[in-house]
Amino acid sequence: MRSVICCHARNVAAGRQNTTFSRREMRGIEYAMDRRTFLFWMSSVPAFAVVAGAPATASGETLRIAAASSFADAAEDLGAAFARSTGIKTIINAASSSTLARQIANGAAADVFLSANRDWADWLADKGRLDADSLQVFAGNQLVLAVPAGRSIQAAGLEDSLKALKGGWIATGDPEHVPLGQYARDALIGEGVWDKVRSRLIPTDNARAALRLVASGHVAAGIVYASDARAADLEIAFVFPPADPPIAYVAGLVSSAPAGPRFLAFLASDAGTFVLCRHGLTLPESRPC
Amino acid sequence: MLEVEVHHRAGGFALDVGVSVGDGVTALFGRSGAGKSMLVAMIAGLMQPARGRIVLNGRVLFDSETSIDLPARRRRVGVVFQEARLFPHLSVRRNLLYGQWAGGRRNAPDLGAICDLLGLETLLDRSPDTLSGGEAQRVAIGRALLSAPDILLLDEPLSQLDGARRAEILPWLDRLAHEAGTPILYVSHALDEITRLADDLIVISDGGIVASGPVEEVISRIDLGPATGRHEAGSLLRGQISRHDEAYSLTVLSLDGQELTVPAIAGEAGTPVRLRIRARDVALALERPLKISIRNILAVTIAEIAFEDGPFAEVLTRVGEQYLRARITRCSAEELGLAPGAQAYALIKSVAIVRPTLASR
Amino acid sequence: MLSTEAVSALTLSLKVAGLAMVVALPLALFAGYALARWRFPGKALLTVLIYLPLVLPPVVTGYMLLIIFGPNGAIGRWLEQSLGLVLAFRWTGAALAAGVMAFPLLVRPIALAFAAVDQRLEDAAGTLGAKPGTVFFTLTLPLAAPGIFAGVALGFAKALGEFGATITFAANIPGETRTLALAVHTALQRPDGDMLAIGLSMIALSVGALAVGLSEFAASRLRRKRRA
Repeated sequence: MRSVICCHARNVAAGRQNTTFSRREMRGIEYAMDRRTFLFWMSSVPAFAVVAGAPATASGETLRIAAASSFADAAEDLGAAFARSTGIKTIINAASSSTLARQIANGAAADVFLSANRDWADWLADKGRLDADSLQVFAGNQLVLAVPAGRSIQAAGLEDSLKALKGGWIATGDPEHVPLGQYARDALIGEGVWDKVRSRLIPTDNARAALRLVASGHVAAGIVYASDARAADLEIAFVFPPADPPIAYVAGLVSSAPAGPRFLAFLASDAGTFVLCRHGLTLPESRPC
Repeated sequence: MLEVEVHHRAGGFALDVGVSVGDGVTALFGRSGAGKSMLVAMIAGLMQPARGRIVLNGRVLFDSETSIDLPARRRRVGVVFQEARLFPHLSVRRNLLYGQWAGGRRNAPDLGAICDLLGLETLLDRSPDTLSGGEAQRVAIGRALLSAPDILLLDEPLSQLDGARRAEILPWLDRLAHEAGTPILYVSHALDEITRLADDLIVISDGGIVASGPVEEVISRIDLGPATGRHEAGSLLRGQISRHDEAYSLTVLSLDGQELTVPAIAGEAGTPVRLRIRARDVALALERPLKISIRNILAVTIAEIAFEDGPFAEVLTRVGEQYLRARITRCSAEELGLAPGAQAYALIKSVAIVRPTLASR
Repeated sequence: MLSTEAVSALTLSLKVAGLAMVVALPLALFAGYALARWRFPGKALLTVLIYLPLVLPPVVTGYMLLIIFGPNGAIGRWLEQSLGLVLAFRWTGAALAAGVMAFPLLVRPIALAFAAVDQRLEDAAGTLGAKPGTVFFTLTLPLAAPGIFAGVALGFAKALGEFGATITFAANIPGETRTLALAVHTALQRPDGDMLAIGLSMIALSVGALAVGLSEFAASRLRRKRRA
């Protein structure tokens, strides 16, 4: 870059209007800029820095919510409703409950944790990063075997449905750590088909990824949450019986932000449960929607 | 027998050439940029002329009329380049035999014979990186010979070597010229190499042939001044060793019935020798001078005189069947009244005769 | 002692990277030679395509592979119907992803190596009677070999460690496509997976270092042989 400026300056000084660089000069600078362009870009760097580095506002005005990926859409709507009623903005970070728990344990900033199962919330509480007393179950869900739209299979019962898939791949969360996968494994064990099916499973990093694989038609079927399947317009081949213990979404406080408890209260309020029901989730204690 | 006729234009340079190359060593001489390397590339098949015809031993290598253009590998033209171009990852032996194991050439000379000819036995298992310039060129020559070519082109093979290396390799080239059996086209801008090695000489200048013929004839022609360079102009004479004078370390040569005395050289009586005499070392007289230190006084007949713009005149004289050139001042030429047909005497300082070399024929 | 998970991830990584190299190398030799030596229409476009996986986020490359070679993809469907070959979610698909990501890293050193071979030597070989194919195998290729080895080392290391494209195109199926990189990723998600993650990382490090070391050794042997 420096040589460009120097050559340019020399040329201008020598009274040459058009700065045609000599062959040797050109070879070293393939993307030569004239001086004016260079100075423009250099002066705009500070401007970018100011804009990009805008620091987060004080956490009193924003609430950071770490939400399980299967819950992401509902969390967005809840956050918007919460903001409308309280004026407190929310920032949603959605990923698998496992990923979020590990991030928070390693120091990621969050105020509220919405986990798709109890285990991860307990794990985080054991690490001292979550207030165990604040844990509350706020929603439930159902597990379904779904197939891509337009590929409905005519079969009743799980075994027949699985046979009808002709050995194709079945996407679900990774049973090693994703709540969806753990629920799916428990359900398949409960139905007595786990050993047959496990080699056909594609384990994904989060519930959303499993849903996308089914929705895009790249896999034959998926074991996903009923709420997600409906939201993505998938054909439902089989509905798993309610799990025991049931699928439970739990919420807990990670930080001491005052807005946190207000959000947890909002989850249980009429406005909150309205949003939950609209997204196909069930309510705790079998409350109707 | 190689017959070449090519025409080509490239970037303002025009090459229009027609030559015939027969047995023995034919030298192609010209200044840098005269078109020599271009011609070599065209004969070898590395460059395509715009128009023309190249025939080697009756095989058509290139003919623009009938769209024949044999690729280099099928022409059986051996080339030795200025830089040896040895393959660095192969041993000298594998390099030498490349034409046979990779080029599929049959009927090649025996490896042992070529090694003898060029002194390569001790180099066979070495890597090309470790060879000196002269050794590398000898290997390159051997490699070209072992590919059983119908003709050998040497494109300024010594131009990248220093004086010592060139002196080292010239005797080998001499032997090659005698004993190889393959016709050789030797391209060079060094007159001393040519006078030592060549039988025939073709002079090329500015993309055109200006002279061709036996080397002794061509080299003494006056009108070649611009092509050959004034400084080097001279004559080539052929003679025989007559006897040796041990006491004074001299050798007497006989030349068309006359005698020349030179510093002692090796050789038996009757051995043919070739002499290079620079025109500026020759003086002329109308009478045979007495009481003079110059021993070599030859009776000559004036054949041609060329007066130049400057102070000099070039005089071509005949000694028997051979030609000897002299460079004297215009003033002296007029004072002496020299004219074609006149009898005169050429005075050549003994010590000015270039060290005689063994003639190739 | 290596756990079964580690062994599975290791053998899978070697299989995937090995197949990727076996298929990518001849293509890279051809592409490298073409880029170094030939002039042809569309050369600039070809260059951009070859280096695209280097500049795109790996996940994007994986996604494009899914679109083209996946069960719904044009080529993927054709492969399944005519050859019975399925790549998505298979270790062969992981090899494809790894090969595509490693390809630019192979081509660049190879193209440089071919460009560095003195074409005057090739001319000389021609005058000695060698056909173009012979010249390539006896002269060009051996002279370019050290550079080619460097490319292979780079490409193999990249194929071993490939993550983004693999997990997107071939998914993270244990025993089928869960290579070392994916196994480390999965271990990190587990509540108690730290030790396993470290162990797998050590294995990945050793294998990568070994691959690079071997290739450097081979290249230096070649250079030394020439100097002898």
